[in-house]
Amino acid sequence: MGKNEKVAVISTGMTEFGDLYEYEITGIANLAIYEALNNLHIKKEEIESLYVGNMGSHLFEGQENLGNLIATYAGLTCPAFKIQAAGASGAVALRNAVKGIQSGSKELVMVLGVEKMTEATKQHEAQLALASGLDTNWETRMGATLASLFAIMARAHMREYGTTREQIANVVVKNHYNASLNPKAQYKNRVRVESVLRSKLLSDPLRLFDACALSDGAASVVLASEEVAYSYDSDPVFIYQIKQGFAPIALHQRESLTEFSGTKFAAEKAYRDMGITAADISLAEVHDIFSIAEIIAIESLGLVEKGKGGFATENGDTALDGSIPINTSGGLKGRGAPLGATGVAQIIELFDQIKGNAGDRQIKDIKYALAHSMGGTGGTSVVSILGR
Amino acid sequence: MGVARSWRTQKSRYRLTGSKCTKCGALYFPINIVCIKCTSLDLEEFQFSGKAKLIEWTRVDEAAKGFEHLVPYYFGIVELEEGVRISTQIVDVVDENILQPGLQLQMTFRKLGEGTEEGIINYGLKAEPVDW
Ligand SMILES: [Zn+2]
Repeated sequence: MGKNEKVAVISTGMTEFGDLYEYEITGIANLAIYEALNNLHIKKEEIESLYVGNMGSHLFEGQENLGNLIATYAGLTCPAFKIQAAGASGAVALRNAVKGIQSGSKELVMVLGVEKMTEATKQHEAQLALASGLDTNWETRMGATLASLFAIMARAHMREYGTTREQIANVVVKNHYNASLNPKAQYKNRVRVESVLRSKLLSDPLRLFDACALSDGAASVVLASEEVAYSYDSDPVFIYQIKQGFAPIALHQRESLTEFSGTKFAAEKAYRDMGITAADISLAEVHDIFSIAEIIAIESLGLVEKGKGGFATENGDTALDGSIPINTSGGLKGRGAPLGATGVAQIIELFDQIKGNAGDRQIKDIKYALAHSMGGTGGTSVVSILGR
Repeated sequence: MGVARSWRTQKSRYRLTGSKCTKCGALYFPINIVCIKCTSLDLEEFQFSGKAKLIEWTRVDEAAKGFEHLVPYYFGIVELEEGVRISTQIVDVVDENILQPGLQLQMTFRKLGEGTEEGIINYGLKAEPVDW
């Protein structure tokens, strides 16, 4: 990416995450869309394209053609469409929006990540929807659950690197603590290691507290070309890099059970194209869909040494006052995990951090900030790097 | 899952039949119509022996739909002796301590789960320990 291809995030909007029982998906979307528009008095007619990231509107609600639906109820008449890439839906939508601006054909676009999951009241409906991001024939129908596949990764990581069950639980403890400082987080309660280890077993060694709960929510960002951005903000936050990495959809098709190879690929490409290293990253939001995923993610991103993710978490290196704070927002675990919204919510946390608006979670002297989002068990990875 | 989808995958699902590329020899499970290594469309059916070794595993306590009656069950990734990996349930585990990477397994034909809304009972292959 050349110097002039950086794309600015000029405005953001986000609902609370949780059980938003009183709103339809269009209502949830509107809360986020209009917060982002009204913050900067952007007219809805100025938005040239709406990129909607959503994982499961069809499964959760029997609704497709989501781009058109949301645009209609938001009063937007620009081209609108849904992008689906399981848990990475929002991040893949963001990447395509960035590409839209980089192409020169657009100057102001909106990305909306949205999910309404709590309507799926039966645990099995929800499980089915979550498992639809796996290889249904050769994983799900053989008995796999999302938890079982992350449990296999956890076992492999413990076996290979001596990672302990307590270290993995420390991810949950940290993310709940961070969430307790985030007014928009779904879970503001703090938890102890023992609570994690006493929660219901899902798939050995992973337990209920290692997983994310169902959630409703939306997050939106308005992106602008560099030129246009300065008319809204004299000191904009830029997305310098956004890379997507691939790994086979099924865990058994991958060479390593203890690395997200698509994440590693995307991160290394982003660092290289930008002429920086992982050491230049001051904080990161990563896809902690299960506790163990955060440990593998921070290793694959090069933010900690391979095999040391559990130890780094236990030592506090990834805490707010650590050397590389991870998931300052509370992550998917604490802030909440309306899947399609998570990739966009990460960008909003980094935006707030870079702008100095993160309140009690504020990280000082930020050079660059990184976001990492994944689909399924790591088949799709998106890595973004933001800064001034 | 519909009847047609079940039928389409049953040769692989019931008999561990895969594909072999006649050009480069690459093996695939399940059956594939193209060799993604050399792009050849000349593939023939290949019968995997069913001998396998354990790569990694877990015990599932919260099952997916259709598998509730099996809980808790063992589930893992195994490598067929021909070098291809698959996901499978592991049955007849009398002692969890035997489940170590490298454990010799044999694929065996079993009822997989309780079937679906369409009433199709899913049969297929599971892995069982050879000796312990
Ligand atoms: Zn070939």
